[in-house]
Amino acid sequence: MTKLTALSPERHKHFKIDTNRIEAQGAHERLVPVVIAEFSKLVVQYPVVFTKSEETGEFLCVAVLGFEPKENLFWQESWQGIYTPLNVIRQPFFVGKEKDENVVCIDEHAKSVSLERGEALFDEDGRETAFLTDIKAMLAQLLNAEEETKKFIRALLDCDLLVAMPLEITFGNGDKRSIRGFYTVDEAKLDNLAAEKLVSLQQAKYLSPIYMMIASLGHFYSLIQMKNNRLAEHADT
Amino acid sequence: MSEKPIKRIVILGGGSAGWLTAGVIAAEHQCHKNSHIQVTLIESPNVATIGVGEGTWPTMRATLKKMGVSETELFTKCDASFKQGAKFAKWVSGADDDYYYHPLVLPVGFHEIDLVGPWQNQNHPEAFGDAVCFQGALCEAGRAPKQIKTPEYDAIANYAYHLNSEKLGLFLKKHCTEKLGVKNIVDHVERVVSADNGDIAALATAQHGDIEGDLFIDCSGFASVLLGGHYGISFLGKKHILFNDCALAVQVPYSQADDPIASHTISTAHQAGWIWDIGLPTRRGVGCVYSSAHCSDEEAYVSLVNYINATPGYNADELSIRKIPMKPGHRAQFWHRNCVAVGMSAGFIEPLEASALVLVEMSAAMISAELPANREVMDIVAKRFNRRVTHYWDTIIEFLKLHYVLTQRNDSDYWRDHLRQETVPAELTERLHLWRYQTPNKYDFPLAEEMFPAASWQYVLYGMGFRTSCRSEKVGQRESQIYFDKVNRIKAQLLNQLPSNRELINKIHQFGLQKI
Repeated sequence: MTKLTALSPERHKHFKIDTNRIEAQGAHERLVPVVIAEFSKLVVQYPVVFTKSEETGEFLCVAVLGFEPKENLFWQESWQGIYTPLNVIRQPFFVGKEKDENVVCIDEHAKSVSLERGEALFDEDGRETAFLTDIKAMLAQLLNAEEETKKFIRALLDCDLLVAMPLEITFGNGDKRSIRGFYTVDEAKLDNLAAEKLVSLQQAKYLSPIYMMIASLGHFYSLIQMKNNRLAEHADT
Repeated sequence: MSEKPIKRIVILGGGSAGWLTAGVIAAEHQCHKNSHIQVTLIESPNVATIGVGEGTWPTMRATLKKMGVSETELFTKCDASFKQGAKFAKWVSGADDDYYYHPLVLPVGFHEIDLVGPWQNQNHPEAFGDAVCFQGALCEAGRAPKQIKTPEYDAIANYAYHLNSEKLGLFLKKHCTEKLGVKNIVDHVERVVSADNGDIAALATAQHGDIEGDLFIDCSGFASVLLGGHYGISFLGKKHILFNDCALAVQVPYSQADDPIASHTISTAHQAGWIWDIGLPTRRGVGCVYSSAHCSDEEAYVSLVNYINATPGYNADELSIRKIPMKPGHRAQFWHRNCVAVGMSAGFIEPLEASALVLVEMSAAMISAELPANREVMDIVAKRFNRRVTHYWDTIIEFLKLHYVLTQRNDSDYWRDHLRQETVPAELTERLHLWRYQTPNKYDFPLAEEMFPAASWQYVLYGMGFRTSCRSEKVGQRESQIYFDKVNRIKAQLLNQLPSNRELINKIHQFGLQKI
């Protein structure tokens, strides 16, 4: 279970992070929220789509890692991808809110957290270590990138460019799945977008992430292939 | 008579009827894009519109969507809430546990199977509405009909709205003038200027001169300035069928800010009428409808206060109660020459089934779709319009009377009088006779666009305890059980998935609904 606590030298002085176990925390993530700053690295392997937050209904960009709840086809004892999304490697740290201020929080129950093994967060005097300073810098970057991604989504919604992408999949063993809830950029609408809107997307540097997302959809085929391989392995054993 | 094209449409009156009509016509005819159709709405600067919490039909979703209105804005600007139907309490016996639902979702398998017979024959433990439809269970549990992820205007369970109709008028005014190219003139109309042929040529205003038009739409409310006032089209009273002619209305604040918001209208019968209870996000709108011939204002007041005070934490003593006189009935014609009435200028009936706004929508849709190309064909369109809207009024009146005519209440002359044969429309008597042997079906209501579908009649009919001697061989028990099971399955599934009504409305205020 996730238990988020605001990071403090008093409470977490002896906490250590085992960096070898960080990616394991994404072992059961089917969808990982991603930011446009990492699109160029993501689209080498993952399908990147829009989906709606269960809590707020707002659109998010996510990398798709599996088909079933908690299925991450990129996890097989270790992360099988060339690039691991920021929202996985930033764990077990989160940014929380305390009286409208951003505070760094830690999931004390995460697999990588212990008192014994890994990188220390604070030194003997209670000062933060270089490791923690780097983590904080990464979280700050991620926070900015998330804001930028929200603006990107807002711009696409304002241009009415999102379209639902229902998937009808037949796996190698004959199982059929209908997947709803993914959205992508409507290419036909993009092709017919009014000139001034197109220019505004271009000036905001949104054309590149748009085309990267569209191109990344081909990875659904490799994801299905990964699923088929896994189904075949299970059938064998 | 000439082939003069109809271009200039002038609407008199700026309530929800006027602005809905303006919006429907302007959106369909693309008035914002230099269309040859021009819509002008004239409203008085200081005529108070009647704003009570009001219910709509699900048709309102399509109407607003077509106008390009954002549903999120409807919720934030018009105090809107979800309505999943109506709960009728104390209409059958008057006992405390006497209630039935008229939900907005059709009975399961409605177009495949008639479940009335199996439901009756196996003495199903649940009321008809609950046996054939999952929606009453959602209402009882205070659930919303959709999730925050569900796009604008889409439903998981069919829904309509409760809203502040005065705010709806103002909201639509902004939308119509800013987005749809409707021209707005705020002025008093002092006189009707007639053409030689008896048509209306123009409306003479105090400040803006004569506003000329080819078609005039009377949305002037009870005053019925053009159709009733200018043309003297007679008013057909319906009080001899539906006795209620007064209402006491009150706004009831929630006792706690996070009190549940009912996602259905609650209509509770009393000795000489009924009480509406409409939950908006900010407050409840409660009103006591009664027949002045059967009940004094004081008695109605006591009924209303007792109703409000029956819920712990509520005290009606501090609230200001407003009396609204009602005149049930409608005009003998609705479209006369180049003038057509929409809204209360056409007629009014007690809001038992939220028929007011849906009738505005249907009238506006027909005027817009059949907008006469020229004056010559206008009379043909008018004749068709009159025939259809008369049918609508007849069915509304029959359908409302259905709620009364099957009661077992015997606690006052009011209820006894409702059963007297001379107060029941002959058509309804005939239908009820037929329905002793067959269930209401599509042949009862043959129009493509009926006011109330056959399903609504079934919900009320069997909710009120009516029995039909169905041919039992028609549907097998095993076959029907599949459908009853399906209802229970969906019930469990949706109770698990759907948030509370207030939770979803709060989220809509905070995050909005997505358009896709």
